[in-house]
Amino acid sequence: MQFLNIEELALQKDFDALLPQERAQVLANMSQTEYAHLRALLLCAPQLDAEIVPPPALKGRLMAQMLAQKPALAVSKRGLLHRAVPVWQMLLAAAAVIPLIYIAQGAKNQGEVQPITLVQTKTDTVFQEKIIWRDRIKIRTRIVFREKPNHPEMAASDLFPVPIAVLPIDTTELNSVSKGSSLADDPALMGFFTK
Amino acid sequence: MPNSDRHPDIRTYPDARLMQEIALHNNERAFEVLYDRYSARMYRYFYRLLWQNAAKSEDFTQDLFLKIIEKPHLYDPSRNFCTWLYTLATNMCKNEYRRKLTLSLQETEVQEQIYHTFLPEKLDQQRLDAELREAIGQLNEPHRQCFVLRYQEDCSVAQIAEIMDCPEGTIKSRLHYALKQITEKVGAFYKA
Repeated sequence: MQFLNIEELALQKDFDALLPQERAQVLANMSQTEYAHLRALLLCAPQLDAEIVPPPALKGRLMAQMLAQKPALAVSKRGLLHRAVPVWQMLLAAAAVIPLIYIAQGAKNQGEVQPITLVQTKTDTVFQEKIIWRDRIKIRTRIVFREKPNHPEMAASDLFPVPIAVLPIDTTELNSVSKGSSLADDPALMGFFTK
Repeated sequence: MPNSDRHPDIRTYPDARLMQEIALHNNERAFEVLYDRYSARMYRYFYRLLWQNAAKSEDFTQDLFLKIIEKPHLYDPSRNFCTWLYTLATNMCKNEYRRKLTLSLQETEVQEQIYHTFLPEKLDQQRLDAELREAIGQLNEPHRQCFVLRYQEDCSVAQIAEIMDCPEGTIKSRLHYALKQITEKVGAFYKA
């Protein structure tokens, strides 16, 4: 694009400093004044707000956030690695201490009399099982107890002396039908309706 | 072996190595070096794209570096770190433009009034700066982003194409348009 080539020229050279070919190229697209304006613009633009810087507190906030982000494991690891005694020295010391502990335990064990626990099994009773077979076994049944009533003289017939089916029942009232009174037989009733 | 050879100065590490230190070991020193390298640049970028709003620029710079702290694994080491950082920042600005579509116009108008009211009449450079800010502010967002990245942040056209996820031809076209618009404004200023 033509304008962008001219832009590169404008960034580098003043119009008077252009070579004849470059000058012809510029004048084919714009006037000398426009070129001067473009150059002023391109030189001015990077300087615009160039002195602006972020507030110092922003860095502090972000660094605090960075530290907060650090997982606890990483913090402990970092603490371990940054101790005054290097890790290899700590490991060496641990390796030296462990045999000492074993030796000390061995010496302690030699000084003490360890009680020996023996388990003895004693037998004081002997059971001898013997199966005795009997050839003849007879099973006999015999009544040894029979429950009797307390009052032997009171039989079941004493509780119901008369049979239920024999009881006399008067059924005349049940069978009679109430027919009511006739108006002809009862003048008062007739008067009640005719008044 | 001297100590400096065994533990080279972390300040000399390339960006990708520093990001690796942050991602794998949460190395706060690596983060500090990255912050020192890019914080001023990114803060200025936000300042230029977000209507010269210092408070907003600070918030956005903080959010940008928080992304590095919290999600360093998102960085692809095969990419240029600076371009990746600009991509994140540009996307944040795009979201802000969408959110404040109507408010942005009002703020531009307010700033326009401020420049005209409080500018010292005799200081031509300051007037030119103000005129230039205004002209840049009047560009629409894609053109303004292209202009700022190319002429203020000194990114190449290829880098801008990657940052804005556009073909290089589109970027060149936008730059051409932006330059033309702003040059006309500057020309009008000189004539006045």
